[in-house]
Amino acid sequence: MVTNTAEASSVFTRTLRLGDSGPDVLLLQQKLNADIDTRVAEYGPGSPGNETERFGQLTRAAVIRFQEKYAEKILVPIGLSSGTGVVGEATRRVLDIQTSEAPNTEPVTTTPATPIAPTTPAQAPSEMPATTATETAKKDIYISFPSSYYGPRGSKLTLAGSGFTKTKNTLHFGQNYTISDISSGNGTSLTVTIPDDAPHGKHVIWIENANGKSLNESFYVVTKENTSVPTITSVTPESGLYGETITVRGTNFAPKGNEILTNYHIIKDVSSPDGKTLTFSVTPFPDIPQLQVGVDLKRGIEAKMTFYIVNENGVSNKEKPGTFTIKI
Amino acid sequence: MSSFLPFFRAYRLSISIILAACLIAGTFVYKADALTGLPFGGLVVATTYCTCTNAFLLTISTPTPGNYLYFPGTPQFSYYQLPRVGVWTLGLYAPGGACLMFAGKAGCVPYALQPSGTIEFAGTSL
Repeated sequence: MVTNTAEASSVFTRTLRLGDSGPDVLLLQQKLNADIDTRVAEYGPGSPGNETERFGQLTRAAVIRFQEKYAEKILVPIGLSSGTGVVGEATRRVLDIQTSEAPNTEPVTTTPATPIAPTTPAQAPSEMPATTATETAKKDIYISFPSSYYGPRGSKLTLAGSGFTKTKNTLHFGQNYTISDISSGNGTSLTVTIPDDAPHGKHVIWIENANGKSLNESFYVVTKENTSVPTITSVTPESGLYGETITVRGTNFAPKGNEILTNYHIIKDVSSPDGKTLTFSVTPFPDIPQLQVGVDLKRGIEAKMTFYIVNENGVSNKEKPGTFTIKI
Repeated sequence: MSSFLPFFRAYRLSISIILAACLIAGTFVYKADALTGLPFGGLVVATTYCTCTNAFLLTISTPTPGNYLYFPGTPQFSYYQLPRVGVWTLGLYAPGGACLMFAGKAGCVPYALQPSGTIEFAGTSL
């Protein structure tokens, strides 16, 4: 049974891609899961009955399989040979057609009343991931490695990354402070001197230019003159379960607002009334669903946690992070 | 490949250091034929724990997008932040590896995403 697009009213009204979320993503996963060939996941989040509203890598992979299964209708008309993972107009139309299809059926063989995909190249970018589309247009902007994460006014800061323009890059320090007209000779690094009026404290930083806004953020702490960075001298206990209270001793902790950057998650707003001691608890890592409380791993595992203290005084020693072994 | 060139140019110093470190480490630790390191780098956008493999599957963005397997204990350079989502990473990997999950009575089964390779060592941003 094949329906044409005139019979199938579209339930997808926007282009969906990695990072998107919403009820239409959940519906997309349900549609993909209706066919064993394009199933999002066999179990866990995204699997049949466990669809989510988050367009993550599993969804993207399933969309690619869907596009390649129906390549003749989705990809070929716009000159592509492999799936992109972006749910554009052509993909949406074929998804609509599949609404009334039985699972795991053969690809659509009839021509819908309305063409599935436009043949004009101008429509192609809607199916293309940003990284492909930008090869001929705007480039994605990323900040990869800052030369330092802290320093006083007058310090030089070099950002390595990509998508920087030769001129007119703007570096944002939070919402209220910017450094404008920064040049980048090679498009992959730029250097600024922290101005004398830059506000003290920790700032989220990002780049904006003619290509748009950077896809990720970093941070920088503008320290006061003659401050000393936080140091970690001991961590007790050395290991424990989720919920364990960890005590860190050291120097130059801030009375409040310390952040602990671990290799699993970030813990914010930790106080240290005496400036020498702070405590925090280990909680399940929010970004790793397989390591939550109650998940049956069939065996215990030990995960080494490495962390740094970040506050108004800077960042603790790069080569001497605190460590703690979590037993899960 | 062309998209990789700017990446290489941007990080040629870091890559050179890592390659040199790999060679030195390889002299002591690895057999010569185990030096299969290929450069990779990008933003960690998702982390999945492979429950059977006891390793993390890192989904990484451009410039070398893909999934890479990271075993706890794999050598890291500062800031030692793998496998946290949101950090930038740069290092070497060897092709191969598998992400397996416990699936009840079925035992260990391959996860829906499989790695491009296994990380040999890496550095990260904060």
